[in-house]
Amino acid sequence: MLFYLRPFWPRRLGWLALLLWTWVAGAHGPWHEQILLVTEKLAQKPRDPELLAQRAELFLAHGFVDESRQDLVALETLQPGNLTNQLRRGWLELKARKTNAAIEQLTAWVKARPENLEGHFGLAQAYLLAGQPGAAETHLSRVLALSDEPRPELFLERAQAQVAAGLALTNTLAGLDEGIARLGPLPLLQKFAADLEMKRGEVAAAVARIQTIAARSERQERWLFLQGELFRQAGRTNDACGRYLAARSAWQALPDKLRRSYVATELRQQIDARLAEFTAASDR
Amino acid sequence: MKLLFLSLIGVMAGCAWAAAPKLIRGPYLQLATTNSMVIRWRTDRQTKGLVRYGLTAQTATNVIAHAGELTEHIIKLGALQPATRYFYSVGFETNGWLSPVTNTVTFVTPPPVGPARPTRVWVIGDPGTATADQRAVRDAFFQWNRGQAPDLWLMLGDNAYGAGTDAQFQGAVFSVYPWLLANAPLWPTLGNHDARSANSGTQSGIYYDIFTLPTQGQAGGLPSGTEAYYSFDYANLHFVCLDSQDTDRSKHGMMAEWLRDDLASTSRDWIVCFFHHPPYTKGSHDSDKRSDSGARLVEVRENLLPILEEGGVDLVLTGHSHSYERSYLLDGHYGYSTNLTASHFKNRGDGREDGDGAYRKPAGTQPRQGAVYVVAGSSGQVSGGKLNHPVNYVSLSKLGSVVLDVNGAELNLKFITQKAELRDYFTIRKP
Repeated sequence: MLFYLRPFWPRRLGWLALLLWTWVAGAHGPWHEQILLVTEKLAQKPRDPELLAQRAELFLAHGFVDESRQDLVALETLQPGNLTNQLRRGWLELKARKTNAAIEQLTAWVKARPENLEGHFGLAQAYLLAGQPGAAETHLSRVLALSDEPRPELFLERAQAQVAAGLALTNTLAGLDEGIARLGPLPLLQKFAADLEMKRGEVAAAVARIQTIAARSERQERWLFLQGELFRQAGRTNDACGRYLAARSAWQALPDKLRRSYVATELRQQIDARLAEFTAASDR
Repeated sequence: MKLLFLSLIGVMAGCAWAAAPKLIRGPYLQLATTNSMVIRWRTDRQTKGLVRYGLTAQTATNVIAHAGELTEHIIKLGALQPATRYFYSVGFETNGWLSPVTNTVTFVTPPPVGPARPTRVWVIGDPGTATADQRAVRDAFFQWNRGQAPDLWLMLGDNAYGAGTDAQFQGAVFSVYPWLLANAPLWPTLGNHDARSANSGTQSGIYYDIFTLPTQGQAGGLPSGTEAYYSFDYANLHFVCLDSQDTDRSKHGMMAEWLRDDLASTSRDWIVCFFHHPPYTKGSHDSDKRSDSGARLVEVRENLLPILEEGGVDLVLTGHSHSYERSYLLDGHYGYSTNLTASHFKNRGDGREDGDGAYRKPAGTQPRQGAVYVVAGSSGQVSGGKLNHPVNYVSLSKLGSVVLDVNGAELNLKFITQKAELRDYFTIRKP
């Protein structure tokens, strides 16, 4: 009991400070509501591992790494050799940006639980932070394979990791297409894929990808302009000019109220600037 | 002998009655499109669910069943006509026949997308307290709306306190709004309390289990690929729901990029955006404090508002602070309230036809016409605060909800208290 009380007192004082801060701030963010609730329970059961784990996770979720570490240390003392604490420790080190320690803990965790999504995701983030995109890509692929409904960001993150790792563009494109097949023709995945198509010289494929977004969009001016940009990038000036002209026509066909948004106004300026470039070039 | 036979029949009927599944949630309407409607409900035991529907109560004879026996029933009615009232009841199959577990209720499919049509939207924020206050706000709206259902309704997050568990959703949503849930489609957003039992990253947990939301642009807008943020059209309105709680709020995050594309792709006359964390508030939260709510209020203001305003948003609805706060017509204010200058006000009047005049977004091609920001987080409780954010024309610590009416080139918003009193209103007009 004495062993436990010693670290508990400073933390309790810390809590008084936190309460005071909360009172002074006059706001009631969700984090301290939750943390205070668990702390109240912990005052009754200071050695309850579930409550300690809960508060450690809450602290971590709200960016209080040191406080989370204190709870985790107490938890590890109560539960030596507990595997789940290894996952918690891995995430803690990740949030503390101690990538080597995070990788060590999380690797041990996924070795024991190869189907655990959280472990693979944590490892991917740790490897990205450590500048090892190739290893990150492997774990992001595992996360995607294990997720029933993966969030779109994961496909993009994996593609970016693959590009950073210098993997073959074909594989990266296949990964993005997997995302598109699973989640639908998401504009951001298609736009990223179009950039990769350009990198491998497949202009028509890049333009076709933008067309799949255009097909879902009521307004065409933005997508026609983007197609023009792709042709311009490839040096196909006539095709580019054709798309810019089509984009301008689509813009002109918009009702007045839609032309008034900043985005629409800016787009018109960009279209006009590109067309002026071509006119100037042809005059020369 | 006759008595024995009748007793046997009675016992058999009793057994059948006891074995009949009971409705314990819903029905509730989701993912309304011009030609489809998702109907969901829950029974206390697994059964094959059916929906019977038609154009009148008498001719509601079309039947759709789902495969297998379930307790969570989800049936999509397709091939519907736009702007049409349908009568329906849900039930279960008994020897191939429908045994209804509800009375016949109705819904109206959304009208064709594009043309203007009078539209009424009920908006509640932070309602999920399961208290008499929440019910009073509900009843005041019914009184105001003469017992009619709105065309649709929005929940601005913190839909079920304190942790968005299934039992809390049952107590604060399904037990409080059963009639409305059955008669008008609900479009929710995730609040911080709901997020305690849900995860946007994996689209899992109670909130995501309960609601069926568009990921593929099924109801208009560009596909987002996730139920965490989405858009949909209703007549000449484009609604955008963002996840300010549990999704990356950075300027070039996937949600922000999707938002840019979505706003640039819509042709609707009005753009209404809703999410949980308010960019401007001095209620129970303070948008000037980066420490408040993990900087979410600051991040939505700094990162997402520029995209919304550049994309031509007209109205932004939020909750989180348990108050009603309504701004002037604003543009370009992404800093703290101390950085607010006169140039950020596009119109510093009250926005009322019988006052300083409606907010007008004039004809012409100049961009950035301004938007009105509303915090409507007092539909279940009030929690005070300084209520003095200088962007706001009105700041009230009053229970209530918002009624939004859009009719052609005019948008009217009213704040109705729990006593059915009108405490604020304004109009935006477009040429």
